[in-house]
Amino acid sequence: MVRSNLRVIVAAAAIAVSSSFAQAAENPNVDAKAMAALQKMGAYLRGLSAFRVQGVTTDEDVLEDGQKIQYSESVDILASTPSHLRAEVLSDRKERILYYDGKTLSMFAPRVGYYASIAAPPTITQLDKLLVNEYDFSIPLRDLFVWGSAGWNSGSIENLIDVGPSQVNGTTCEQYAVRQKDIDWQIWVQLGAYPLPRKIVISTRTDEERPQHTAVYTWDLAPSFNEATFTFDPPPGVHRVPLAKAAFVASVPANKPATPK
Amino acid sequence: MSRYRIWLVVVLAALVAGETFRPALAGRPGGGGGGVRAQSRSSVNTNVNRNTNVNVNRDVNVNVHNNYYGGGYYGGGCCYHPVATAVATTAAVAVTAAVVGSIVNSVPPSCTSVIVNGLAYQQCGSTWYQPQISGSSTTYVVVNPPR
Repeated sequence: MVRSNLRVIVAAAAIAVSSSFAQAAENPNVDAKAMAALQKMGAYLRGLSAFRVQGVTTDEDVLEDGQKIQYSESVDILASTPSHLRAEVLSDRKERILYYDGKTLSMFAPRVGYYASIAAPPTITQLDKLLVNEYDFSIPLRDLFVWGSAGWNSGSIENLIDVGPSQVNGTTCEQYAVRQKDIDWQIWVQLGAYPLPRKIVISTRTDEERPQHTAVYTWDLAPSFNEATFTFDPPPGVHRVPLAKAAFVASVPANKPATPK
Repeated sequence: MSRYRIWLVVVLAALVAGETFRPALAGRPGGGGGGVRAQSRSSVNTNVNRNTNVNVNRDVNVNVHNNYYGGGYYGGGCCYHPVATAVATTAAVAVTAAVVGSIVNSVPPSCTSVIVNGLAYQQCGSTWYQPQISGSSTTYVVVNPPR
């Protein structure tokens, strides 16, 4: 009796496991070749030891009445994996330079003459996690650092189709359309020996106006740099301030004297 | 006094003007209206929206980064912004001037930059602001006098 129960359980478990594999493999809405191409892109990105990528992005806000406002930004990132990153972000309303050398993260705001520095974890991946969890922002163009990593959940893709070849700034890419929870996105992956993402469009489906993010990437896979590139040395007249915490009230309790740290 | 090294640095019109918060959409009806109800997500690898609610603390005239304030547009953001952060900043302390813990996008033009223990502050009469920077904006938090 005990033995036969066990057999039933084992058999049921085996069926459950195999059917869940089958579901993943045979989701008719996910083009297997397209998925393989995204995996290949991710693996390629994670195999790069150093790169410079420039991104031109647009984002949209939806006002209460449904009117949309678009704003744009340019981002220039230099990464030497796994522990060095420099990112310059420039828009109409702000300028930021982020320095990360595996030990310290500094954010410099040149227009106001302020900078902030915090002790940082040893990898870009951990840095991003820290910033998201505690400081309410992320490293710029973070998807470029997530695809192909352990943090990428390709299983969240519900629908994936290959749209076909498409040019991005004169480079032939393959365009893919993806649907997952709350968002639709399209990605243009360079064809040939360098499967780099060249463009992305993300439509947010949680609002009926579907505000859209776009980014077009330009790559340099042989950038030159030295250690000083990733370390902030405050120029004269620039002053230190705190980096804003996500749970802000915890850093400056309203009912206690704020002691500078 | 010797415990603190204090420099008077500059009077700060230039500083305030540096990071622009110009009301590009001034004229849009404020109160009730002027907010952002949604923003585009900028990453496919998170379930968190860049931002949702903005004018979190109207009663104490507090606003947080990158948004619409009194009808003026302060949009634009780096990276994504999960949620506005000033939700809990309605300070318990009732002060005549600015409420400690309030966050504003800019300080009055007559403030002075003062360095205390290596950190920059803005002193505006008896009110002290701690500037803080984030991925998207520079904001100023009302703090108790640091000295």
